[in-house]
Amino acid sequence: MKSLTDIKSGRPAVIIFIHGGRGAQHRLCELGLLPGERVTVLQNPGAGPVTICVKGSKLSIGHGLAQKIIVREE
Amino acid sequence: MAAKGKLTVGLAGNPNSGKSTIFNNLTGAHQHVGNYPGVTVEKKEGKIVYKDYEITFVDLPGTYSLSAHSEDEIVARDFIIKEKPDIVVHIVDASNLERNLYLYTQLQELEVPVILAMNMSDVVEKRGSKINYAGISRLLGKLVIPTVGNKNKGMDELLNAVIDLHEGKIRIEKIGVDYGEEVKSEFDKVTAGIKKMPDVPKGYPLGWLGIKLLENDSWVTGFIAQLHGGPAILLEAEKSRTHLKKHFSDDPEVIIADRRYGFISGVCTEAQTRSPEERHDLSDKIDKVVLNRFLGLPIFALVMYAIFKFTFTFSEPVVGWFETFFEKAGELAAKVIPEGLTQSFVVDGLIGGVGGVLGFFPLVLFMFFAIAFFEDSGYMARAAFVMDRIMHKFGLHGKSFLPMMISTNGCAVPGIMASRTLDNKKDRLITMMVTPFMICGAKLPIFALFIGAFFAQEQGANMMFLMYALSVAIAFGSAWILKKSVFKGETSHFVMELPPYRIPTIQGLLLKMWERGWLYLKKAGTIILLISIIIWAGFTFPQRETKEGEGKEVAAAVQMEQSFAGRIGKFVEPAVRPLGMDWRGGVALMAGVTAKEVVVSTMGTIYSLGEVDPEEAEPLKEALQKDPSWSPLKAFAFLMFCLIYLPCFVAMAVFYRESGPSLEWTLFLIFWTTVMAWVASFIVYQGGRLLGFGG
Repeated sequence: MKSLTDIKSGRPAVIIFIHGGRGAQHRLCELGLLPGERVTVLQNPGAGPVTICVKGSKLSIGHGLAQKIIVREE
Repeated sequence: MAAKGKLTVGLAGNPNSGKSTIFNNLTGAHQHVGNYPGVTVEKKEGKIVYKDYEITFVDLPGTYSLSAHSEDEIVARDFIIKEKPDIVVHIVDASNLERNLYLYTQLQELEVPVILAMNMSDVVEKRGSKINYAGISRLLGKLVIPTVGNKNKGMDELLNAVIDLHEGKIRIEKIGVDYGEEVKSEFDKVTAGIKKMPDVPKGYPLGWLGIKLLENDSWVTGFIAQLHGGPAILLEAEKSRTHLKKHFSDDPEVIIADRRYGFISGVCTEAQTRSPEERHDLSDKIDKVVLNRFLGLPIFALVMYAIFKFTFTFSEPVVGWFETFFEKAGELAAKVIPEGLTQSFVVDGLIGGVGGVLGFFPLVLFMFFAIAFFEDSGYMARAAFVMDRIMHKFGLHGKSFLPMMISTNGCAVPGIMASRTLDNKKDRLITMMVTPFMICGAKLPIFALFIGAFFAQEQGANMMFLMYALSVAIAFGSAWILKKSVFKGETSHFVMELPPYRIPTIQGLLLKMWERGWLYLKKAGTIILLISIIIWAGFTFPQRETKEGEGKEVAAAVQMEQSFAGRIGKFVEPAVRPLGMDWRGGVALMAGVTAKEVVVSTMGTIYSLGEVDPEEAEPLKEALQKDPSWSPLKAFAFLMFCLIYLPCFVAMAVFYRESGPSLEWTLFLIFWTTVMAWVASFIVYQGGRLLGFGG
């Protein structure tokens, strides 16, 4: 299983699920990070936040939270 | 002509959708800024008259959703439910339809007439995509008006739509999200239960309450629980939730969000032709550099430096004019008013005190302008991103950047309040503890005054930058210590949208600058004025008789030393002497706890009272330069103390309230800042002397 932090810059991925508190999960869902959604990792510097493109806009997600987003690499 | 009536129109929209620009276009300068009752979220209103209607526009907080995740979201939906605006205009960033329409799906559940303003429609065209506005209008059953906020296009069409809809010339339909069979049947059950409740206050859309219960919305759950028959409904809702969870093997709120996005996606595919990979072309290129692992931080430092360079270089002459103005005003007052207490009151108390603070007004305005520029261009979101990694190392949070930024050149009070966006209590307390270390708009004049007086002009911006860097270092260092000692534990999460870069509009920047500047002026005209009078009285009374043979200068000096304020200063002098200060520094610092600008106004009063001939009054800066008891090293040690020591009364009161309220944490803050300030100032002064930088 890979998390968002394992995806290299420029690569697409599909979200499988998000574990973590209910609040965090719901917040991410409302921002479009839903299971099955295809996202593109724009910048993953290895440390610090990961920037992704989802639903046509850019989101920056803290490293800890990004680790909890489980994805499948395309 | 009699007015046809009054209309209230709420403006809703995502952050960065161009909502404020449209609000500014619609209302011009007729704005009123206040707070929503009971909360600290800013409420902006503007009134205009259009086609015989008096229309009040209310700018709702920018949100992505209307759940109960943040105070902004609760405020926005509360306004719609409780104040029942006649119409809500939803400002949509047409170049980012999917994300923006998510808010729409929830707005329409609140059963309020909605008009969609498709903003930035020019950006869409430029990219070569097309939006079929009539198609969206048909699919959503609502009015859709294309607008270009930053070019002031489409405003008349928008206003006409508001009036036509109000007069019933246009009909809108209700087309809601299809949540699917399973969710719908559970929703019907819960809503039917709510319908039977006898005491649901009027105006609450029952269907909305139903869907929110299925989403397990914390606020709505609490609200229903208080009502008669509420607990039974909650039990019912919980049953429905369990059922849905089993059926979908996912939380109902995830399914509901999924259905909403599904609905939007349907609308978008039908009404939008996309050119492939259209978005983020230029923004992407800029971000590749700005967010680069190695370049990100140097660029951030450069931007901050640019803000200071801009502020100090361009405000310099204007600050000079202001100084001259107050100097001349003092001289004139001294000529017109006969010598005595009244003259001293006007010249030394009012002009010397408040004038000293107002002299820096242009500087503050320039600073606000520069910051607004980087905010509106989209850089500040990147700054939080770049800073997140470092913030984490020091036990802070990417979002802590915002309170600290608000406090820098702004005010620690909204800064402390902005800490509420942090979910974790420990993170919030740490952020609140270190936010007051930043150089706020009130501390700025102190630094400007002393740096101007004791350091060469070319070095001004550099010295100032050094002070800002020190403030950040102290804040981070404190956070690190606090995280290692008092607040052990994990830091919480960080999510943030990075909006596309945009060129800010001049009107928007000027309005922002003026709004914040006005607060500064208001403070100078009220609280600072009041305290200046008290300080003047403190130095003037008790009055003493001039002894025979005593020179005027000696008399003035002795009078000050033996006054109430002077005696207090003498009392604390032993504590501040090792820091290179005398009793005057002590008094100014103590007075500064009421509001930090007062450090400057107190100095102004002290030096103005010391002037024997008020008609020859010189600016405070020159008076300080000429005073042999000051030196650059002493000035630096003094600034060090000002940088760190306890926040002003208002900030402490807000800290007390926001920390729990907790008296222990507030006392801890006072103790912590005072000790740190003394130690740092001591090291600077005594260390500097040892290194031979003079006394």
